[in-house]
Amino acid sequence: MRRGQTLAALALAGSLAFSYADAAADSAPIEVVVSPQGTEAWLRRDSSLPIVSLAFRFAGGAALDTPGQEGLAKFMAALLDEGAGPYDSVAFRERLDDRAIGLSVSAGRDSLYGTLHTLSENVVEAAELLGHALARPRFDDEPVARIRSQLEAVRAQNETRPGSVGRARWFSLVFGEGPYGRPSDGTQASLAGIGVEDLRTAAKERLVRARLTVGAAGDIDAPALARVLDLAFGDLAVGELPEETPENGSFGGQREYVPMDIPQTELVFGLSGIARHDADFFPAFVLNAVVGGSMPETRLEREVRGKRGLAYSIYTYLADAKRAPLLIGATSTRDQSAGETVAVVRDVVRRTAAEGLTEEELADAKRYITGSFPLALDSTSEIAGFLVAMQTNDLGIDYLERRNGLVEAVTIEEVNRVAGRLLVEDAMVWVAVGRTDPFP
Amino acid sequence: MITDPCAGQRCQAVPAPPTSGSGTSRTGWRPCLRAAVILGVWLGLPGAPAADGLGAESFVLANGMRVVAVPMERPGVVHHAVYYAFGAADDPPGQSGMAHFIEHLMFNGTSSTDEGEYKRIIGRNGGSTNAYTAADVTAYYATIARDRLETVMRLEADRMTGVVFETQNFEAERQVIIEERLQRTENSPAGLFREQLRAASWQAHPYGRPIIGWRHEIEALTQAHVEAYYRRHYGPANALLVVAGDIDAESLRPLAERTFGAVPAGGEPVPSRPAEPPHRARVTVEMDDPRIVRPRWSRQYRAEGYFAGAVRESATLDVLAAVLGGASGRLSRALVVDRKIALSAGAYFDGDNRDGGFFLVYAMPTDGTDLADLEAAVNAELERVAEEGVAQREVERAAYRFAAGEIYARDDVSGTADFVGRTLIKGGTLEEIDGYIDLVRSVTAAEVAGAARNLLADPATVTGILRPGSAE
Repeated sequence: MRRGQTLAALALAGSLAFSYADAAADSAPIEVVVSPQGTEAWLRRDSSLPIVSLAFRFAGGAALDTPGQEGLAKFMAALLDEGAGPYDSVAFRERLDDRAIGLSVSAGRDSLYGTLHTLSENVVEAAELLGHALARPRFDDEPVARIRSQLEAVRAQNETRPGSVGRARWFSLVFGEGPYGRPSDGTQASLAGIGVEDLRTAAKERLVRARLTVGAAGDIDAPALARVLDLAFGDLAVGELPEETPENGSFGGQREYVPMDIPQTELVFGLSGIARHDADFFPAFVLNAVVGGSMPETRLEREVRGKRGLAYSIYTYLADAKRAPLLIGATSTRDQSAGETVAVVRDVVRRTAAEGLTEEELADAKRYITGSFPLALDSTSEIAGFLVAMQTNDLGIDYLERRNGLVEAVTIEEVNRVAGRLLVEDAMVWVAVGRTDPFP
Repeated sequence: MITDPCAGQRCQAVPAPPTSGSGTSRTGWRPCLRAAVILGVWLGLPGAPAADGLGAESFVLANGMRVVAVPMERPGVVHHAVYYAFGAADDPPGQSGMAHFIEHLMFNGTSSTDEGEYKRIIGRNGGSTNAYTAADVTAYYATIARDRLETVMRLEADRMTGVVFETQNFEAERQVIIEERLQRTENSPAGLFREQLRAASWQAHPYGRPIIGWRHEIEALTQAHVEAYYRRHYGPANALLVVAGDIDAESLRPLAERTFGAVPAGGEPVPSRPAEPPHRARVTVEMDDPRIVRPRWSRQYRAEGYFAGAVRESATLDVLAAVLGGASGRLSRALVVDRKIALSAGAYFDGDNRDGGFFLVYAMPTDGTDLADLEAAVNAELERVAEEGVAQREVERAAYRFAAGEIYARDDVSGTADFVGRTLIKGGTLEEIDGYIDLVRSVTAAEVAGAARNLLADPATVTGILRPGSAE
């Protein structure tokens, strides 16, 4: 989900940049490429370096794992480059390494997200390997056993990490036994119980073209990309979109303390967020940037870190989660100051809801958000990912020009109304992990 | 899995917010390893990727400050970075954490800007900024639109000598640093163990101290100490400016002269560091912690490294690390895939420090694997290289990946600037950067075998074992 939010941030930043810097004027237009077999991708060509980056997303992630099979999406994704088509695990990895091809697929809660990064001279081989990985993963015994052990090791280690524990408890408090509430890393029992047939079925059902979005950037033209698309995705079934029903999170001011013998307490907090298509999305985005998001010094940073030295890092982000948008934050502070930190965060939330932002804060935020675009999209892999986000969020291929003025048009009245809507202090859900319970 | 080569090497003033999207610190193809960030000419074998030289140009201002422009095809974008020729290893005895403390204070106001104003001005101009402290170098950087470059330069020049020390601010920042130490190190058994391992790896050289500083020394630093250190050493003579992106030397020069050129000459060199004596005894560092789920094993071999003068040896160890490490490397194949005694295994060469570093092998055992067996299996792979050598093809693969890594790294303005800055500030040259891939390509299979033999002959390795158990 965090990736989705980052991409949303990029998409938003992108909307303003063209009015800001000359940079984007030199960029090639975005092309829509449709392969002979019907796979579509958005392409921004840039031949300044002999590199091609592909980003792809299959709708539906760990939230599709059924009860008892938690971890299936991650397990399946981790095995895609562990043997496929004619190559066993070692041979497959060797082919990637020999040609310095970067291929990764990972599972988020709402999607399976992948990237392919290669020198343009190897793009055909890279696409063939990706095609094998997606359409013909082998799930041989050796890598299945090994990845199972590795996932179990990571899962068990995460149970000792305050940040992981805090986030997992937070999602459980808000979503209970729903798809977002269950552990996407799996449980010891679920990881042990997932069999090769489960993995095969998951790959067959989830890696399908109806769920696919592709972005491409770098040193490749449209005809060559069309061939690459068919090599990479042409053998996938068409399939159908996943069922992703909205989840009703429970935001009733729940607070949970998890004991852990560590000197610094981890605090996770959050509220219901805002959907990308909500009319209030832009005001909410600006609001979050100022309160705890991307601005160089947010309100929370100023109060918690700058003035009081209570934490090294504090942040909030709008999680553009498909089934239930969220506004999530986290910080960590020494054991003795956890109670004070909770009070300071609550105070910032309460005051922002009641008083809103200042005109100066709004102006600064607009300038930052508009100006940071040419910096954010400075590599082929980021551009490819941005093109995926634009499609996933239905922003339109003319998004950059069309949305030019939208953030500039956000008014102080809108931001402050949205602050009242989102920042409901008494609804905040809190988790603390540490030596002492900070909640009164 | 066991040892993150990037962890613990640097401390940043500001943690990267998860939603910034500003792109100043992202992970690349192979983050952190030298292989990922080498930039240079490689006009090599048929079928091999080729990139032109960096085309960087350098000049020196009248006050002694060095300036480098690295032109890149990124219209409208520049990455601006100032490097100081000292880092945590230069912190005075008993005052570890000094350079890092100053890094934090650099954001807190000067005689002409208020507290936090540096970041606010950069932000209003659409830029993003941060800084880091490493053992050999401290760096302050921003990525910003080309037409706002002079704003950054003016601010950076201002805080080179203009930081205002104010007690309330100083004490609040001390608390932030202690929180940073808790977050990075003390809250994590792996973080604490890394710190112990580092301390045990150096007998006299200050590389053994944590970059962020020991807690008791951070607590004991006084404002007077810190201010005096800043006034003495921060100045043009110790600084290097790198600007990469939509820039060339001709257009950078007048900007640099107007901004950094106006800073009075100054900046005393830091005192030379204590030298490391020969190590004569094997050391094993063991820690048990209830929060560790799986044991982790590692072994370090002393290696001089590129900047300590072992140029050809460094290139050879880079190749050896590529042969042994990685998903299809020898260690992973033998221990993880074939024998199933490790969940993960690998190797890397930490050879970018001015005064030497380590070649490191590591593994995490599977259930029921004895650590002694794991160690023997890792040794057996090193011995196999030492006795039987490696195939020419393995060397070529490694060189190919280096060359590709070089091209990938150039996709990223900040990564390119940082590699140039870190290399030059440690005494490297632009010519060496342009020539490194050629050097790697010239490494022979026999040399790789020789390097493995040298490692195995090291009488004073440092072995690290972190395992589940009860805390002391």
